[in-house]
Amino acid sequence: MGVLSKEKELHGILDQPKIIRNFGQHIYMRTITPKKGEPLMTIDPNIPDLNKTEFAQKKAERARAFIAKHGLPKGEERKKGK
Amino acid sequence: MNLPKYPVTVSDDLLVYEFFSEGPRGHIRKGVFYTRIGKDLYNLGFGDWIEKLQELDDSSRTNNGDRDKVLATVAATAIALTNRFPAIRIFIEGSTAARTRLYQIGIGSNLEEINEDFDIQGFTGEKWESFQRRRNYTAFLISRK
Repeated sequence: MGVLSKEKELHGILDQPKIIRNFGQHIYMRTITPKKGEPLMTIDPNIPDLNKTEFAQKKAERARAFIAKHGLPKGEERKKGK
Repeated sequence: MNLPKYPVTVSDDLLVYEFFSEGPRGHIRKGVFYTRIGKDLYNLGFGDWIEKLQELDDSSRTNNGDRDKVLATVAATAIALTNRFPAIRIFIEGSTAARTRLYQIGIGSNLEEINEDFDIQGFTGEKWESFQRRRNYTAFLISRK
């Protein structure tokens, strides 16, 4: 299932795509009609992938180390292993 | 949560978010991201975008007078992510004790509303337990009910 159809399923009707002209390129940005509690969100396929930053990798390593040392809550261990 | 929050820009996979904090210290770019650390387990990362380093930083205090709105926006990204992927569990640990305490205050202030849809576990330093107000935690694990 594509991203767009998944969004439709979960978020309802998507707003019309907004086309922004940026240095000769067309960048397609789509806004999602927010559900309860969600922020107003605009999907930008060109957003920098912060998960690839050194900062993110260090944070992930730290989290993994924490979980390796302390484990997860009971019940969550089962979910993790299933 | 019906708290004021900033509009966000989000990646296709809903794992990376950006927004701008507005306040007396200006227009500050913030990043929120979820990094996979296990099966259906993601670490929440959050910080200010430092343009000259092209990197995030969570060591400084912005003091832009909008703490609650920033926290509500970060919480709203977790809602958006788990709306789409309900099996995801989110691990949260502040970069400092003060930052963890800030998360704790944010959760505690909205506990009834959060508990309607989420299970929140806190790590006391010795064990995990269901989140309770007036208890100090060093990390949190959030999952959909």
